[in-house]
Amino acid sequence: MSFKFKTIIFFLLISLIPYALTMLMFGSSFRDEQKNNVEKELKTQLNMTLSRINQNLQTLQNDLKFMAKSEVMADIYTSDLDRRISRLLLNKKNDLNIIGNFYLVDQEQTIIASSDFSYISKKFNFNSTYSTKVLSPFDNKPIANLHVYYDLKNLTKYFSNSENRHYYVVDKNGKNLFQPKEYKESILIQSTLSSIDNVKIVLIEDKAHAYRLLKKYQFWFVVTLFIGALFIILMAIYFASNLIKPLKHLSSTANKITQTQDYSVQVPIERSDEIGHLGKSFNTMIKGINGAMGEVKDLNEEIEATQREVVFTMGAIGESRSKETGNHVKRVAEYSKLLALYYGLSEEEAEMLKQASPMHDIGKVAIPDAILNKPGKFTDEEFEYMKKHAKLGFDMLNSSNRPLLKAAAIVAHEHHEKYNGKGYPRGLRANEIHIYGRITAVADVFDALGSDRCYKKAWDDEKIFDLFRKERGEHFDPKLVDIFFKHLDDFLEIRNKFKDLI
Amino acid sequence: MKVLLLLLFISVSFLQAKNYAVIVRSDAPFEQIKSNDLKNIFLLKRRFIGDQKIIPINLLSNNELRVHFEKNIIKMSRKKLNSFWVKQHFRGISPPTTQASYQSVLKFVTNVQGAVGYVPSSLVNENVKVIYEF
Repeated sequence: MSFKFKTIIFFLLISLIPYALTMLMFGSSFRDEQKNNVEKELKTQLNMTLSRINQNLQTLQNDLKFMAKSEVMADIYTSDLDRRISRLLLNKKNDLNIIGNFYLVDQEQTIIASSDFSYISKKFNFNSTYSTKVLSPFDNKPIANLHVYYDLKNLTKYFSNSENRHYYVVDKNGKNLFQPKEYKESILIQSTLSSIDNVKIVLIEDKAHAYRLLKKYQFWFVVTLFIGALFIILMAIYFASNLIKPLKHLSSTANKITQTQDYSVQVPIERSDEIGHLGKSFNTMIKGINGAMGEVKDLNEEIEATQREVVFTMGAIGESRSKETGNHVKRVAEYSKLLALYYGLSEEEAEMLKQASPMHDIGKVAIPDAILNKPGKFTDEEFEYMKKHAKLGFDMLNSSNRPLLKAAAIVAHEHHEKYNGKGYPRGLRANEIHIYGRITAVADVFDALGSDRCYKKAWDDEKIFDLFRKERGEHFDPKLVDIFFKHLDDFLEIRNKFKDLI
Repeated sequence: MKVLLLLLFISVSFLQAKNYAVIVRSDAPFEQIKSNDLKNIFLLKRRFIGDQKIIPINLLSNNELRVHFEKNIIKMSRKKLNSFWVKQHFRGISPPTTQASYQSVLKFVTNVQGAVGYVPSSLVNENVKVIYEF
């Protein structure tokens, strides 16, 4: 797990969890409050309705008591012969506009008077809602009872029902009355009606309708919650990235330096705190390394230049012994490099051959001057002695472990071998001869023929070319001869550039 | 025809003379009563006869017999009676209870001991006894 990822997770944990907890607590308390408000509102409605009903029922009871004391109750003694009590009751019923009836019942439970005349002189054997005693106007003894039957249906006129909310009545047997419909889910508030025994009024509301506001808020709450969470996540990523950025710079710069070896690169510094200091220290370190590397490079170059010069000088020593002009080695070096490149050797190898080839005649140091500088032809004996310079050169150089001197040893040893196997000192053939030997042979012969020597004059170019064509596959590697002719201009240009000055 | 006319005359003169009866329950503990006592009873100036509480029963105010009763027994005009009951009202006394019909008066008297009412003599039955005629 990366440091950045860990940092993001850390940020999320310390910010998202408290955020989510706070929001959820806030949301749940808001929801509870909303639910409480809905219930409170229902309760208020129910209580208002109940108080209206109770008030009206209280009025009814007062009316009943008032009627019981009225003068016309004296007609109880005539069994309401003139229907005066019944008419009073009927009028009262009509005034109150109720469903139900008043009954005046004597001590023998016979109905003397009623707002419904058809009950008169029948037996009173049913329940009434309220009743009151009627006392004799003369001696205050109870002479009858005045009852009222108040149908529960009367209560419905106090109910303001709507599509989503309605009232209903639960009677003393627990039976639901006057319920217009039922809801799938509902909120129910009920209260006992104090003015009629065991009757409950229920107010019920469709849950979906009651909590419709809550539903709406809930949606927006969730949206807000997610936007907040998203913001926190983005901030966490932003801060973590910012925190990591300098470290990334450091590591990427270090990687780059490892790859390119370029110590001049610097880390961008965007801040002045501890992390900025780290970048600065890193930069200072790289700068130091860069300086040191520069010194090493300069020293190295110095060494290489010295080496080149030594090698060159060694070649020149060989040349000078045979009184050949110093430019010969330079030209051979250049031809060798060119041939090596066209032959397909690498730049490094070609460069090494260029530096090694001047030493091809180093062995001549050990050849006596009398032989070496003899004008005219050698005797066989002298020539055999002369041939020794190849092996001598090889022996001088081969003891070194340096690649350059190893290459020079090969060149010295094999530059007189011929492709057809008729060369010296070992008579190697074709590919048995190292490519360095084959190349140097071509380069050496080409330059030797084109120069004046103590024993001969310089050849014309045509004569040289004829010889090359003739010796293609004999003295010289045919491939190198082909290269020579193909790029003849390049070779002639080198010869021109390093012309011997006489 | 002459007989018929004679009977009619006799009956009319008889009715005009003693057609109405003041009645009480048949087991009431008193018998005949004087016109003046009757007046005091109906003006609620007298509440008892002996130990018995008396409850006078009037007919409705527009009843002919009541008008006749007031003229002959109480001997006060309606105007004078009204002002009398207004005065009594302030002393907490209401006029006697009324009944709307002769039958209800009869029934009331029959059912309530001490009740005193007046009805046409022809309606008198065995449940009541006559204590005055006019």
